[in-house]
Amino acid sequence: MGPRVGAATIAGLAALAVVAAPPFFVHLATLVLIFALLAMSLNLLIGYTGLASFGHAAYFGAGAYAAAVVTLRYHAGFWLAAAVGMAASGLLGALFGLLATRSRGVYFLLITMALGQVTWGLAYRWVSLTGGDNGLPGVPRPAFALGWPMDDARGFYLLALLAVTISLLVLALVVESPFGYALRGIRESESRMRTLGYPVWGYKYAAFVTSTLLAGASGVLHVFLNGFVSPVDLHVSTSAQAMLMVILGGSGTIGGPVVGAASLVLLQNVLSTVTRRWMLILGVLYVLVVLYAPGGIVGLLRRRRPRAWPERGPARP
Amino acid sequence: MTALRLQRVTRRFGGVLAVHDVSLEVPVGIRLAIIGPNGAGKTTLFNLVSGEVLPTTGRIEALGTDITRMQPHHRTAIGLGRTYQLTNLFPRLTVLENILLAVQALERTKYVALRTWRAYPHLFERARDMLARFALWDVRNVPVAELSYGEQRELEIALALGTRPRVLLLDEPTAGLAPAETQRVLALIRDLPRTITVLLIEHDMAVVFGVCDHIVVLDHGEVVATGTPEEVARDPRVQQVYLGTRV
Amino acid sequence: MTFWATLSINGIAFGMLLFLLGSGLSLIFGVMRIVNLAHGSYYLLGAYLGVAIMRATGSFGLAILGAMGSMFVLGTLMQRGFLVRLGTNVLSQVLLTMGFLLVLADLSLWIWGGNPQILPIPPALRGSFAVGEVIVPVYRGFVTAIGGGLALALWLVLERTRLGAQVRAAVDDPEIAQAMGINVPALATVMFGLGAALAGLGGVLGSPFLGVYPGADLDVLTLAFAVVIIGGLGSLPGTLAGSLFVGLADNLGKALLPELSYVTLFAPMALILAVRPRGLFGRT
Repeated sequence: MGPRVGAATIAGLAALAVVAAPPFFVHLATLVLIFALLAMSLNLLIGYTGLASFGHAAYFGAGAYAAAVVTLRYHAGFWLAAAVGMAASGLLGALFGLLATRSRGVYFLLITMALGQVTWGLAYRWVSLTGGDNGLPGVPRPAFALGWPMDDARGFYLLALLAVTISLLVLALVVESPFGYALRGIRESESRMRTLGYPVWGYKYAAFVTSTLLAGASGVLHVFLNGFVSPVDLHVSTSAQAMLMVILGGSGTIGGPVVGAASLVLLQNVLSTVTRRWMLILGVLYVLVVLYAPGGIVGLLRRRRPRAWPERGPARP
Repeated sequence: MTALRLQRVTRRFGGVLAVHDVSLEVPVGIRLAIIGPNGAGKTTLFNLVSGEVLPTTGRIEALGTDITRMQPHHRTAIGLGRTYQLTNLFPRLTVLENILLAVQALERTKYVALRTWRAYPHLFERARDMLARFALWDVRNVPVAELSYGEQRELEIALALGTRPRVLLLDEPTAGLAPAETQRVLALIRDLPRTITVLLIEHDMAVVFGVCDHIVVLDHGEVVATGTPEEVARDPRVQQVYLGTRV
Repeated sequence: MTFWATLSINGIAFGMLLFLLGSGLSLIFGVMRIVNLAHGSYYLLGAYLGVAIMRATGSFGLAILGAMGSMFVLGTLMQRGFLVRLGTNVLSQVLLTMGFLLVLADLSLWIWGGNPQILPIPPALRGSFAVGEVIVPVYRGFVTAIGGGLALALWLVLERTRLGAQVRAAVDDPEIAQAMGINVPALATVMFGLGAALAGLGGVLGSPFLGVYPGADLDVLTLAFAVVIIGGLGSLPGTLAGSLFVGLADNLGKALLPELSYVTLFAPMALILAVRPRGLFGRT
């Protein structure tokens, strides 16, 4: 079996083993999973479609806020709240996508950032709905059990692990599908894809909305983990960190976002206990990654060999 | 039947008339060369036909359908295909992946998101045939960015043929190619069935004379002369356009 | 009536401030096709340095000069040392400049701490004067004058001098300009530095308006982005139009619809991008 399957198996085993660790690590691991999902959603756009979205925190936050509101105000159960959360982020993505996907490159970056800021501003100002600067605290853990009761850190971790693993597998399938390769073609040359016969805008829009749905799912998990959501979750700095996770891990790869999320979450947690200057170190890391490892960690680890298709050759004349 | 019809097509960019009042009737099966000095509007003409640029005024019809305002991907579905003067491939994808994208472009499989490519062997068969035809089988797993210029130019044409076009626009297919490669491209064009109409932008007169039935000469966006290669070669207006000699 | 007049005056003053920030960003994009996320950092550092110099020397003029000079140097170093190494890859630019943003932000936090800084308005610029029934604070008039003066100066240089012609050529088509003998790389560096200096000036002048605090870099950056999006990247008249629009819209929005103020600011920007992606006066 190839090295990829081996790595995935090890990762899977490690992920399950976390359940035996102390609660602090379980919490950390849950955070890694949540941000891995956010990074994966962003990677679909950045790494595979070539669209650098700089406002993804908006969908993350929309999912979180929507889930929080229906839980706190309307006493909705977990699954309903999760559905509402994803619906909210997906609808926001559907609306914003109409505006953003007509552009590309720098302009796409600017417009997604702008839309992200609109959402942040709304969360900040619409105090009656969002609690404004104070956010919405007191979101209870889901009231069911998945091998473990959800109010236990382990139980919630398993839930997150399940959600993220399913998403990962689905995404892995999608990027190897005809649709996924069409996205890569769009990344490489939109004009060529058009003249080949692809409805490019439709693909970009579909990728965008899918991405926002997953980002919303990540936000839902996050608000239930922390019991709290605030405008910070929607801020452009959150969007930037998600982007760094994608690049640091290796954009355009399946494992990259997971590696990137893990690296960044662990780094932040470790560094912030050791020094107060972890933001400085993070900044230097950004610079170093761009200059010396643009393929990210995954890019460094595996020598880039294109997938070989061992198809039967043509009949020799 | 007419493969392509342009009626008084004009394209203005700001103050510049890139294409001015051009009318053309292109019969099915013809090999038509479009020649002219740099800046004559040849590539703009192709862009108007492919839909990447819309005409300011005028009408364009392809294979019986009015395509004047039609989006590029719909034109391809009707049967148009083109190559680019500046190689326009998918650099980080392999040769095979490039061709697969072309081959699936007009099929419904291109929308499938939850099964891998391997589930569609017919795409691979078509890709295999294309790779063989263009002698690219051996480099099928090489990222396009690593191909030689000649190989890239051949892939450029292979992609366009992947959608089985009935009207094929080739933008300077032999530019920058070594003589042997040029001959290969020439042979390729000659081998195309007469069910396919070919329009060719070319600077290499040997290619034009070797393959084309008819020539249209553009200068400053306007049609200056048309005719068979022999007629055009003798036409003093054409000499003037190219050499600037006053008669 | 005075309500609208006051709002307009404040809006225009704010707009002029934004022009200082936006013009650098716009010109840099015009020549180098680079989007610099650290542009807000020049504002932040300029403001902090301005406050420090003001405290040390009591001279507003020195504060301005110090801020502008140091930001010019910082900008040119960033551009020459790092940004030239990137192509037009948007992601690389975003991450590299984001890295600088973080580094500069943390350094500022380290040096000056987390409390908001206040630049004391020099006595000569305090107070207000009356125009009819409308009371205009002197400082706002001052900022408007500086901004307007700079806009005029920039326009004159661009349109009437040889240097300006070279800059315009470089913005129009860098490759042809280079072929014509214009030293595009040197121009790019100088313009980058100038943009940074203008942002630094904005920092000193703007601190009484916008304040100086950790996070001001990102807040200011997003405003500057709104300006260039609406006005169009690479166009100075566009930046001016965008700045005034944003300045007025922001003030109006805050006054009339405080719950939606960010939306009234950013939604028009998003709409312009959807309908006219290049902005009002933008160029590719």
